[in-house]
Amino acid sequence: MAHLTSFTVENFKRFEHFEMQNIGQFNLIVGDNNVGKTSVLEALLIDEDPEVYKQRLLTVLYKFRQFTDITDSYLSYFVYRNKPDWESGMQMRFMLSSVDETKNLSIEFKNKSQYIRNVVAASQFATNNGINTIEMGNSYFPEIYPTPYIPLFLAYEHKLTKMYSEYVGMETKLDDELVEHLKSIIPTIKSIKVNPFVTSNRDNAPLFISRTDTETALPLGFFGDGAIKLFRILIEIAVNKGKRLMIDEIDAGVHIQNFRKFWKTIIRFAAKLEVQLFMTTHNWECLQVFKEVLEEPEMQEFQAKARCFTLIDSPVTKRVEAVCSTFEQFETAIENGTELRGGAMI
Amino acid sequence: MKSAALFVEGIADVKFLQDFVQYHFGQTLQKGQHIVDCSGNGGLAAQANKFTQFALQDMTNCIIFDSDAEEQGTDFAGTKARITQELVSITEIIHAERPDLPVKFDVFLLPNNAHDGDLETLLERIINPDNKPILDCWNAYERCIEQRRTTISRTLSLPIRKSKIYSYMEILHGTSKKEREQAKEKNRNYADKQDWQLDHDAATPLYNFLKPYFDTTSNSQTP
Repeated sequence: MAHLTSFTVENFKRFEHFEMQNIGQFNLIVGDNNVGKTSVLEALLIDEDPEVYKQRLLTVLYKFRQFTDITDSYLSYFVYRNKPDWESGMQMRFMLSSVDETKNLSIEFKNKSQYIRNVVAASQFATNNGINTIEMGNSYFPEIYPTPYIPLFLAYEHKLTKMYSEYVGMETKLDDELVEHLKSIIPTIKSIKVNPFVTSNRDNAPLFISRTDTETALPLGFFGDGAIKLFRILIEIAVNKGKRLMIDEIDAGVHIQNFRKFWKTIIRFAAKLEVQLFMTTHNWECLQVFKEVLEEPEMQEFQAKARCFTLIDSPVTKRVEAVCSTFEQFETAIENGTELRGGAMI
Repeated sequence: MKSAALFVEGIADVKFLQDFVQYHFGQTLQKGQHIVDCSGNGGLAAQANKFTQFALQDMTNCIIFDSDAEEQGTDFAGTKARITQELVSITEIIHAERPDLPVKFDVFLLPNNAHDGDLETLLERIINPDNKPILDCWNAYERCIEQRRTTISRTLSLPIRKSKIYSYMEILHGTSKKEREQAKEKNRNYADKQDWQLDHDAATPLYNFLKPYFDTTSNSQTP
């Protein structure tokens, strides 16, 4: 999948029309609370297969937004923000442009009854094909796994071990790359193993880290929240090789002193595996270190691929707008203490 | 009242305008949020993203730069023409992506939007007259060096106007390390009437420029 260079979405959540131009490979998204940063990430989950996209959204709604059920009213609110004509066939529209091509997609996400019909058919397909499902009361839907989205709170849970086993552990070269990049935070790491003593439900078995300076392998959790966070991000980058990955509040749970190592590792790993990143943050230090890391001699080659998008709820255009800052503009703003994160004006 | 963001050329301008707007209009300008320091690489062109952002927020981008003078190789008219041309180019860049977006600029060149000079020119004019002897002495010091210019082999930079203002502040606030900090550009209190007169006639053009944007009782329309 070629990386996006511009992106437009219409009729999705609060966006009647929203567009991002001049997208890079490493894209920070900043803005005031509730301006729609996370919604942009959810819109970017778009896939050429409408069913995949719908089910990704449902996964986000149910697993990550922590809705306890998916009802018509939840769907109406989540997808269309209760717009009155949503049941009469309102379509989400997307325009995805890369260097090579532009694709237009229209997706109708009507109401639960239509969705349930799809789910029943899809769930049979899932069962026949050994696809995972997400249970929801008496119904279930096939889980589009993995969803290229890391929500704010996600760390160890939600299939980290499964993703590692299925996508990385079996590929020696990729596994070696992952171990190499994890050295930024666990310098003596030698290898990663799924706990061999867990024989049932190995998808949730703890991951163990072997190190060169000790005989004892220790569970990943021993190395702290920062290590788990970085591990998840790197795993998801590996899983989404050549595609795009959305990360909400990338700084959450990361100590300021680790930002430098985090950014370097994430940027290098994503560059190596050609993953396009869209990352939200509110954190000034996180932005500052992002800039400083890209100024280091061995990282300067990535400057031209970095962008910062400020989301503005514009009273002029009456919609949310994304203002793009190139690395040079971003650098100048950070150096002069210019606020890029939006916020209230006089 | 219209809404505006200010773009200035350095930390001294930031602090002066923060104090000026607070003193006259009771509004607090946050650095980086309402007042942008354009010093460093790229000048005005590097601020195209911020101009866009403020335009989307229905704000006027107010450029408050120095007119400069012959010793800087330009003058009021030259600086005005250069900035105007730069803003035309920047507007074209913004309109390439957002053709319908109204982008409003307003330009004021220090000291008074009419003559050559800079922030220091204005500051010299608005010092508390009780302290005028301090600047008289400094001027005499500069004249003395000027007269001896031929006896010094190295190139001299005269007048040294930033140092004059710094010296003026340090003399008045230099009895302790903590007090001397107040002489630094970012720490000055221009609202201190013992040092400055923000009501001075010399500051009236700047006051009149800012009034439509920051006076909550103003009903001024866009120029």
